[in-house]
Amino acid sequence: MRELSGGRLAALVVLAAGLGGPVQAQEPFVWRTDLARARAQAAEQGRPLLLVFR
Amino acid sequence: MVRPSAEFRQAARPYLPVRVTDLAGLDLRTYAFDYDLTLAILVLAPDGYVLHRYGGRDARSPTGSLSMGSLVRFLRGALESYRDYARRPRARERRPPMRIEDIPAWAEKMAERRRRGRPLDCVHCHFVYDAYWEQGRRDGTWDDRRIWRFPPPARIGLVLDREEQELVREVRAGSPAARAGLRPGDRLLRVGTQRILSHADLSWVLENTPYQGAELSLRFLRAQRERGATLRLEAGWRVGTPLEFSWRPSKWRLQPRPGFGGRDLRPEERAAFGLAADAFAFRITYLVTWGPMPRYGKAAVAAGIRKGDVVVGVDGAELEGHDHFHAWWRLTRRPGDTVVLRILRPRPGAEPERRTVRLRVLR
Repeated sequence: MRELSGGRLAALVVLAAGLGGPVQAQEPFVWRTDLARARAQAAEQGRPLLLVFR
Repeated sequence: MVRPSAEFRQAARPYLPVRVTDLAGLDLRTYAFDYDLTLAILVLAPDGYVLHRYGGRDARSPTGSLSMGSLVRFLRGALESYRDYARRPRARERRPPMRIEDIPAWAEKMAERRRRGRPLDCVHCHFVYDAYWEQGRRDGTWDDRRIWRFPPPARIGLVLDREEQELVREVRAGSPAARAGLRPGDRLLRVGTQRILSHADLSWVLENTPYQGAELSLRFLRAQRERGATLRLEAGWRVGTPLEFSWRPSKWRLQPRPGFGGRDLRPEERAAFGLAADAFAFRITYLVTWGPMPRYGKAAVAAGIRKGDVVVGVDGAELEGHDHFHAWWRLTRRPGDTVVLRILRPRPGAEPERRTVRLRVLR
C-alpha cells in the first residue's frame, strides 16, 4: 500500500465515504459536523461514532 | 494514485461519521488524543467512552502508522469492541468537562485577541498543548516531563506492523518489551484494560502510565495461544530523545531557542556544496530579531550568523535535520552553554566561505 500523509488519508476517508463523487449516489454517507447532535443521533440509532479530527 | 476502497466504505458504514476541525467548546477529557498530530481518528460510544484510537507518527515518517488497509482493519475490530461495550457499558467516573476555554491563560489570550479585533476563527488541535504549557508556567506547576505525550510503541522497545497494527515486528534488545518476553510475531491483545487495535491504542495506555514507572499487564497471542506477561516501566521511562520529539509542533514554544531557523537543503543543493546526500545541512531563512523574544535572534546576529548561511555542523552532534536541530537545542542546551556552529556562507562565483560561529545559549 502506498504511503499516505495524514492529510491525504483524511481526504480519502472523506472521499471514500461518499462526499463529492459517484459513490454518494450509491451509498449516502453524510459527514456530521455537529458533534453533540451526532452523539444524540448515535444513541438513538445504537451506533458508534467515527470521529476524524483534522 | 491511491483510490478509496470499497472495503473502507463497507467497514465505515456501521459508524456515524463526524468531522471535527475546530476544538472550540469540546471537552478535552472526552476527546483526548495527541494534539500535535494533524490527523487523529477516534471510535466513540454514544455515551462518550472512547473505545479506540487510530493515528500517530514518528520523527522519520509522518505516515508510519497510517494506511488505508490498517484503517479498514481497525474499523472492523473497533466495531466488535463497540458491540461488546453496548452489551456491557463500562461504569466510568463522571468528571466535569474541561474545554480549552476553561484554561485561564488561553481564555485571557483569546480575550486580548478579541479586544484587538483579531479573534481566532478556529481552535487548532496543537493549541491545546500550548495552552497547558502557558498555564503551567504561569501557575508554577509546569513540569518539563509533560512534553513527553502519547509515548509511541518504540518508547518501550516495540516496532509494530503498519498494516496489522497489533502485530509485533521487532523488539529492541534490553527494552521493557524485551524484558517482558515479547517477540516478533506476537500479537498484542490487551495492554492493561485496553484492547489493542492500533499503534494509537498502545500510545493511549502509555499516556496514562505514570512518569514514575508502573507495571502493565499484557495479553498477547503466540502460535495461536493466548499468553500473559508483565511490562515493567521504570522511573524516567517516558523521556525520549530530541529526535523522537523533533516532529512535534509543540517544540516551537520551548526555550532556550537558537533564534534562527530555515529549511533542510534539497539533495541537489547538498551536492552543489559537495555534501553527502544525507548530510545534515539547513539554510537559514529567518532570524527572530522581532516579536516577544527578539533576544535570541539578536544574539545570533551579533555572533555573526546571517540569513542564507548553511549550517552543516553543531557541536559535533549527529543531527538528522532542521527539526532535529531545534529539538536538540531546546532539550539539551542550557543557558550559559556555548554552541559551536559550522557554517557555509555562499559566495557568488566562488567556493563557499567556511566559518565557525560560537553562540552563547541565552535564557
